[in-house]
Amino acid sequence: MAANQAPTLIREIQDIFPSRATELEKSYLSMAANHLKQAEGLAEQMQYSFIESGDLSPEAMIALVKTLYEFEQLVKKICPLDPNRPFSLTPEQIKTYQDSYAQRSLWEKVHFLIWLRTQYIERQNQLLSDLESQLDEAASYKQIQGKPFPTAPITQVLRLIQNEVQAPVTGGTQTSMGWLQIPEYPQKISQYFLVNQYVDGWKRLEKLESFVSKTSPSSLWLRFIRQVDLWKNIVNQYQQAKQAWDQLNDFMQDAPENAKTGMSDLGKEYQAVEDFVNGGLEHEIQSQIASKPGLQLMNALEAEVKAGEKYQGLAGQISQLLEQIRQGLRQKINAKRLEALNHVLRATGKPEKLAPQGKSTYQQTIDAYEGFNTEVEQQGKNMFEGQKKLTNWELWVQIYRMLDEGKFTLKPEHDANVNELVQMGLLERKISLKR
Amino acid sequence: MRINCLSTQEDLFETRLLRRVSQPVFLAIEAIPSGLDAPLVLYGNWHLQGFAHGLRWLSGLAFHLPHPCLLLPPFDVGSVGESLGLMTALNVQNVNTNHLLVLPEAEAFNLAEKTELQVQTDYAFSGPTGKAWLTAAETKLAVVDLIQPKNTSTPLLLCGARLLSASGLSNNDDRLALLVGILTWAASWNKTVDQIIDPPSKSPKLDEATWHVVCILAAGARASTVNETISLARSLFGVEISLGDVQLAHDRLVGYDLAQRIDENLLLNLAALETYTQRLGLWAYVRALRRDFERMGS
Repeated sequence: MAANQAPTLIREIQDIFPSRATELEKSYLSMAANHLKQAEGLAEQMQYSFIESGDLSPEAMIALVKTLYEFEQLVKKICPLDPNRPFSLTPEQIKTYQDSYAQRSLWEKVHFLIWLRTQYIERQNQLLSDLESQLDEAASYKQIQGKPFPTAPITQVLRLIQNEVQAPVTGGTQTSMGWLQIPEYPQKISQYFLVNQYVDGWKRLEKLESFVSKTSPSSLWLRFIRQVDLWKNIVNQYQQAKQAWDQLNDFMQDAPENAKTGMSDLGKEYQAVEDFVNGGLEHEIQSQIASKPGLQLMNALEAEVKAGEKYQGLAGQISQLLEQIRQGLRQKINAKRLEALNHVLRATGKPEKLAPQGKSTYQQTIDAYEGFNTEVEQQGKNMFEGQKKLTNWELWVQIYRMLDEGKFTLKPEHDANVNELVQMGLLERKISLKR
Repeated sequence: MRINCLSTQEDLFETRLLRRVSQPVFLAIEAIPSGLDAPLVLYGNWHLQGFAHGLRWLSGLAFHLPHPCLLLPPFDVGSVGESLGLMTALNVQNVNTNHLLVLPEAEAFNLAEKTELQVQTDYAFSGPTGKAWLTAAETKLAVVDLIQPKNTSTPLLLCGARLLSASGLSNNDDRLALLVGILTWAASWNKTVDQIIDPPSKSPKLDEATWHVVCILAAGARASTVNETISLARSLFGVEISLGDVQLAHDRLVGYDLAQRIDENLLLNLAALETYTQRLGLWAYVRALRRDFERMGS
């Protein structure tokens, strides 16, 4: 039975450990036959009759034990392992088996390689299934909030891993795609297995698994999703900036060119983020695919996205500029003359005149403010002129300004006007003791 | 500002940015050079069969065009001197920097006296060919390199910086200043005027490539005599330099304070030569030569 079992098991490992399989097939099977023959020879040599006869001579006993020992050693080399004790190792034991491979028996060698193959295939299948689903999922991030986002930094690496893991170890056609460069384990798993460096092959496999895992510290997916989240923020910032920029542009649509000078720097900044968000980032990464293979492209994405954070606050700056322009225009309202008029209106029990709100464009706002100034002037004049008053609107505005600024000194020629203004209830006299 | 591009470039992302500062006119590749009426600006995947094919196509005509040609990223890394039909080596290397130094030669770009620019750069150029106008701050390799094999040649300007890019790694003002500076220089380049103005007065007919070879040999192998320079140029670089050219180059070494003339001999100022060759992006050659000569001497 053992003679049939061995070739079957050796054939099983041929796909992943072809040289080992050939080696075992060629030399060890014939060696096993020799060992068996030798063991049979030893069994025939063994003499037990001296035990039965009670003549326990030490020499005969030593010779028997020696022959028994040799017999056992030979049988150990060829005897199948206990089928009731399944052969199982921990990954840490791979090194022990790799280091002592030459000294191991045929069966230990075969079982070790079969165990390694089974483990590898199991993990390979899991890895391929994870890769497949991550590649599918990554494709759904090609557009984020309607803006293109490069998925190549993750898909390129995943495809490299997929290419390595799914390619047959021997035979078949390898693509020219290459494999992921990992400085500690630069060769492909299959190459390590081919040259019997099982530990390095296994470590590389674990490294690839950690890249594909969605939770490990070196997870590519986590790195990618972190960039997706940062990108969402940048797109949001851009959308706010766009809204602010559109408002500014709408407002300034009829403004003269010299009023737009303050917009130039912010305009360039806005254009830069607009380009960046509308295809710029994707283009940057696409154009680096050839020069930055493997994980370098993910580094490039991280650097680009991080650099894009500098546009944070742009929306606020644009809104601030619009507010500054609006405030600047508000200065066009003749505030002191309005106050002077309102003082008169209050004294005559009439409602105060309120300055208009800014309009939707620069020129409309100027027109509204200038129109309002004209109304103030007209209403002011109406309050004084044509009513047989000594004081006219202009003189009242002058007196109001001086009093407001604390610079009024009563001149004899204004005495009559002041009396009139007191009578109108616009001014009041205060009497106090002369010191 | 009017420029020419190839029709293969019309729909590229970079074109969107280029249109903001210029008016590109797209021509079929067959229409070059006869249809060219402005600088030829090549960027992106401009040649259908790839960069190497494109360079070979360009080598036959770049230096005879009526207007300069600007070659922008991406480049294929490696040796490009041969593809461009140059006598001396020119290599493209990957770099990753956004810190560029503006050399005095870049005065023609009108960069408002800026001495440093922040523009993301992925490629730099090394070798004895060309004149570095901007370099990468860390490696001192040329990032903007002017190739003009003969004074009568139309220049080919290589730029490894991402001029047509929305990368946040660049300062947008610096990027635009360099882009506009280069385009304006190319648009205003005039063959006749350049021939009169460009050559230094002391060496009116000295090619840049020859000058660089002489500098490398002086700094790296301490070649200070005419014969030594000619023979080393032949054996090390496979370049034939005429007696007259070496004399012109030696005059220029003296003129640039890179050497002193004592009677008939040249006393090299090695420290100044080191700085100068580093600035030109030739240091790797100088160092390699020094190592070889030291090994031979020991």
